[in-house]
Amino acid sequence: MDETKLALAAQQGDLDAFNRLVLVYQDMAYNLAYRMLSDEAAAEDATQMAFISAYRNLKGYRGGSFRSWIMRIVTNQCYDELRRFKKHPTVPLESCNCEDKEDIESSHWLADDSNSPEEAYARAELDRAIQHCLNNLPEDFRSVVILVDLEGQNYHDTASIINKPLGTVKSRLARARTHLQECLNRFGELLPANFRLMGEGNT
Amino acid sequence: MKDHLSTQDWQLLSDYLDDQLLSDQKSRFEQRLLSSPNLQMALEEIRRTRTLLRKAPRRRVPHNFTLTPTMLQQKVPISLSLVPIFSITSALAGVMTILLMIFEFLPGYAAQPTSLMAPAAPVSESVMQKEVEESPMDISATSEPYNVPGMVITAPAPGPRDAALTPEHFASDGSALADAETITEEVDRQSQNTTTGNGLILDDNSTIPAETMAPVPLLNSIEGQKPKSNRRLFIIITSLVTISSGLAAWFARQRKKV
Repeated sequence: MDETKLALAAQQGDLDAFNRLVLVYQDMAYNLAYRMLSDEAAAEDATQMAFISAYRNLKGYRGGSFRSWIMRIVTNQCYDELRRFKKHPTVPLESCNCEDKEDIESSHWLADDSNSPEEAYARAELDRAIQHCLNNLPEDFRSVVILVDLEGQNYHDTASIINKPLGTVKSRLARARTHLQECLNRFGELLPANFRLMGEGNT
Repeated sequence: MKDHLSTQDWQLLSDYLDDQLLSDQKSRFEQRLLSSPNLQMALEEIRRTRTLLRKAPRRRVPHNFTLTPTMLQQKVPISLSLVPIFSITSALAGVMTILLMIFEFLPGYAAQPTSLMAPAAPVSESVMQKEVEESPMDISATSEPYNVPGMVITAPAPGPRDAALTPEHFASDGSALADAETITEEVDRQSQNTTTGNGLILDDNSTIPAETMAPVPLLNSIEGQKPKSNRRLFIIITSLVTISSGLAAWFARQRKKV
């Protein structure tokens, strides 16, 4: 059954049909939320809230790309969370540095666990560098570069998700890439050789 | 060297990389690219950045996010469900306040009634005096000796006895009728101007007793005060509704965020 039929069935109150759509898009939704919020627990909450909100507002879905529609809800949920963080900053009980080190050592969070330990370590380093640089971007630029470069969305879908014109997507993406390039260059030697921007080891 | 590239150049590079340029833009940019090592280097760097970002590790989903009926049973708090109502009420009351304030304070709307009513009074009084002097009617024989045709009235519609006292009653000599008609036209003109301004009902063909007419300006100002004060009361009420509804919506949203 294609996603439009599932979405129509869900609109009629079929929760199973909706859950089938959730299973299709939960990975993308969670990764988008994690990159936006840079916090696993917050990303988990935002993703769950977004799916609940999507189900309650299924009447608002009027055909077209269900993926774009659901990602728009996730993005908006992330913006809400970020606004809430700014108004009510919270400090996690565990130290962030310890958690990072633990993450790098265990790499339990990696979706692809077929890597060797060395490779997993390198990927964890890269992940840390990218997330650090993403966090330094303004939210509007961040969402665009995550959607296009990390999640592989095309320009039109991204424009639909963030509800902005195509020109805005292009300009935000270009500026985000420029910022990220400068930021990742600063990591330089800290990144594993095959992930460095400068030098011969680049892919 | 590539630092000298403009923001537009960076955007062109990004668009070129994703094949987002139109064919003529693309061919022009490729010509520039061939002649500029800076652009070539910048293109290479931005390509590497994109490659690196595409290699960003994906996070494993901690659990399935499928929904259960229990999750959906958690109802939205009443305060949250009222947010749209509060918002709409606040917006409507705000619009009404603005409209009322325009009618109340803008010179084009507010000043007309009082400024136009004032000069009408001396005309009425002089006409009345003239009519009293020139009319051949036995003014003592009627209970309304100072009735003047064509006067402006502001209060109750004319009764039967008023209807009997039309301009024809004063046409016993030609001059009186002529004067009356001139005055009627004059008052007509002024009453048309005043009708729309203060909302009072004016009747050109009606007459009122002289003793009632004498304080017409005073009556007009008193009558004008009532709707004016009503409008101000409405402005206060709508302003309060705007503020209170807006605050209620804001507090409800804050509760949601917390």
